[in-house]
Amino acid sequence: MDSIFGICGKDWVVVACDTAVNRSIFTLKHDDDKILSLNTNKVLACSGEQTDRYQFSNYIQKNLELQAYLTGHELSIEASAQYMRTELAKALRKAPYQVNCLIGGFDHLNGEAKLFWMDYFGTLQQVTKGAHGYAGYFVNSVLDNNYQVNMTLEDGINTLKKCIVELKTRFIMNQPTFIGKIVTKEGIRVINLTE
Amino acid sequence: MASRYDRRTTTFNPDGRLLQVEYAIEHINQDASVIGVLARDGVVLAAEKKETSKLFIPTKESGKLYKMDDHILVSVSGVVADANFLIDYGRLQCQRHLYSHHEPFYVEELVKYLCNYKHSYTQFGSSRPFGVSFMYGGFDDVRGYQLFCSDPSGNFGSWKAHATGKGSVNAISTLKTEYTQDCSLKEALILATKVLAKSMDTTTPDANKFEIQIITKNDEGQIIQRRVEGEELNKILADAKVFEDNKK
Repeated sequence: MDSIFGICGKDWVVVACDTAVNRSIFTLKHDDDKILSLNTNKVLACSGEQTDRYQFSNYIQKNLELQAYLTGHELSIEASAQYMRTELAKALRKAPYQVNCLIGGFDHLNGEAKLFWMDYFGTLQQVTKGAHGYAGYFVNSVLDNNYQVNMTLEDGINTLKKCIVELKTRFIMNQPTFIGKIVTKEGIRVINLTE
Repeated sequence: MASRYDRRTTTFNPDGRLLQVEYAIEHINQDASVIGVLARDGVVLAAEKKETSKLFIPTKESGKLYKMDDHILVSVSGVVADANFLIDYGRLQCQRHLYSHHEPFYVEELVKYLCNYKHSYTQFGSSRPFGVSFMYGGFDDVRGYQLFCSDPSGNFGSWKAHATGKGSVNAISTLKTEYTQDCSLKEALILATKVLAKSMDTTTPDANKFEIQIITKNDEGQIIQRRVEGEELNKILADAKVFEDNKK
């Protein structure tokens, strides 16, 4: 039921999520951050079962930090995404994590931003825009209509705001607040997408 | 020479030395020389080819230089059987990393990985340390071209130019005076062959005594490693004035 979606430009990427935590017919929380910062240049947005989300994203976060500590440099976005895929695929046949992820980040080596889409089977795909869960039914068309090859970060954020308007108008779930994380050369920045 | 303190790899003698490890290093100092030179656009590893019988047929991997991965080349000084094992061990780890990260293993990580393993044999008794010193030439996106050298104790260092084996003391001092910062691959090749020729025990080195490989980028920007041989080698040997120097 979580809504996560993102959009990626040349040197920026924004990932957004709702902040509600639901169980059964209850809403438990209104301010849950479902986007984890990894190292200084990556974000991982997860949707799915609470515990799996927490377990998986923290496992990945800590391991990437360990690797950066051991090697002295942070992994590239692609290598991190592939590493997550490997871990997810390894778990798939034992105790699968039910998490769908969006991995966004900025590579300092070549100055490019990248966004990866991954589902809980371990399907990994580099994308320019993506969404998971029910939100996908609503926002994919909005993202498609608004995406342009050389769009600015400003346009990207506006597109995500349009997605949120769509969700608020058509989606049955009550998701009052959304936050976004922007990754650029300067690092990770958090924005509130619902004024 | 033997003492109570060299029976085990793990016992320090009263002077604070690990004799077995030092013997292993000594073994390497008696092996044929290997010279490594780092250039701005590649790495050169040059080794003295072993004396072989006329009846000997070279097998697929019977030289001093081995491919660890597409982007890492290593040279071996010391016990080749030990080296074969370590090379397999390193190759496996390179592929494991490629499998899990879809990215080549960092050169320094590989060196560290092999050194950790070598080091463990100075910690646990009843088996001897690996009598191998490797020279690693490699490339990765983060640190570019790199040259490393490791010894049986598990120590390693990163170098601009280095030598192991029989003539290494003289070779290193020549490298120190003649190495130019940011040299080109061609200059590095000339320097390496020149230094190697000097450290050979023959006074008449010929092209068959040189086993040289380089790691560099091709025109498409891909990392390649290849042997320098035939016409190309002859030209470099001529440029390095290998034959003239020794005639004097």
